[in-house]
Amino acid sequence: MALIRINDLKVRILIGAHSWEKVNKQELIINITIEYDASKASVTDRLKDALDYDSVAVKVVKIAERSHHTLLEKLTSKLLAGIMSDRRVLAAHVRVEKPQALAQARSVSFELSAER
Amino acid sequence: MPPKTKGTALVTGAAKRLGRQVALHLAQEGYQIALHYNSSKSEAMSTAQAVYKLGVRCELFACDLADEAQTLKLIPQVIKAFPNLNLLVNSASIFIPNQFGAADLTLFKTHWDINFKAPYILTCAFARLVKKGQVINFIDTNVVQYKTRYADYLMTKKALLEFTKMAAVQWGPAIRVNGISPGMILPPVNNQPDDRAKRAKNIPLQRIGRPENILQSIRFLLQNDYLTGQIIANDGGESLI
Repeated sequence: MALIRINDLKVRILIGAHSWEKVNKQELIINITIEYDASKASVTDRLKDALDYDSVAVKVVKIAERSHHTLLEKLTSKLLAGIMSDRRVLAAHVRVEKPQALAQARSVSFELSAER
Repeated sequence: MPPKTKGTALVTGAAKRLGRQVALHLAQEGYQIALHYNSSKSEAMSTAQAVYKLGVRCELFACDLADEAQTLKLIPQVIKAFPNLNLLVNSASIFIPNQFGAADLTLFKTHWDINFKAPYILTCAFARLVKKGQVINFIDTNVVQYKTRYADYLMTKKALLEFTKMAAVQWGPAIRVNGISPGMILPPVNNQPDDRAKRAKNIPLQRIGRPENILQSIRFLLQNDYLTGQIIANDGGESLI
C-alpha cells in the first residue's frame, strides 16, 4: 500500500463558538494521510491511475470554506468523509490545527481516522 | 459603535507596543484591522480581542517578515480576506544594538529583512494590488544622526526614509506614502537601559512623548490628502539637536 501525505495545508475559514469567531476568519492547518493502492500508477506513470493529491486538496479546501463550523470535531469529520468518498481511498487520517485556539499554546488540534 | 468602515488597515507588528496602539486607534477611526504578528501570538490575540470589543472586524495574519516567501504572500492573503484593504502601516521593526564590522552578518541580514525589505515588498504589492490607498512607514527620529549604538538598525531606517519619498513619487496620485519618525515614546526593548528621562532634558520640548502623539500624526496623515512623501519627526524636537 502507498501513503500520500498532504502537509500543512492552510485554509482561512470561519470556525469557533465565540461570537468574534463567527465574523473573523482564522487560519487552520490541515494535515492529511491517505492510504491507497498505487501499484497500477507506479507502473503506468499516468495521473488517471493515481489518486490525484491536488484534487484532494481542492476538495478539502472547498469543504472547509463552505460554511461556518462551531467545532473542530465537526469540520474534521466532514473533511474525512469527503476524502473517504473516493472509493480508492483505503484509509485516511486527518488532523486539523487551530493556532488561535489558545494564546499560550502553539495550536490545538483534532484528529480523526477511518478505514474501509 | 465605530463609524462606517473606512476600509481595512494592515498593521505590521501590531501585537504590542506602538503597533498595537496604532491598530486600536485605526479600529476606533473606522478601519477593519488585518493584524500582522510573528512570534507574539498571545499579545496579538489580546490586541485582536480589544479590537473585537470595539465591534470591529479583525483577523490575524502570522508572517515571519524575515522570510521573503512568506512576506510576498502577505498582501494577497490580506486582500483575499479584506478586499477593501486601503491602508498599510509598516510598523514592525527590530532594534538590536551593534556596530559595523561584525564577521557574522546575521544581525545585518535580519535588520535589513525586517526593517527594510519587508516594508519594500509589502508597499510594492500594496501599490500593485490596491487601486487607491495610503502607506505609513514607521521610521525613527535618529535617522538624521550618524553616531549611534544601533548601526545596522539605523541604516535600515535611513533606507526606509528614502524609499518612502521615492515610493511617493512613483505611486502618486493613487497611493500616498508618508512616514512618522517617533522619538522618545516607549521604553526600549531587550533590557536596554531606559535613559529617556535623562535624554529628554536635552531636547527642545524637554519631555518624553506619549503614544497618543503618534496617533495624532497618523490621524493627520490620513486626513490630509495633499500630503505625500513626508516624514513627520514626532520627537519633541529631538532630531534638531
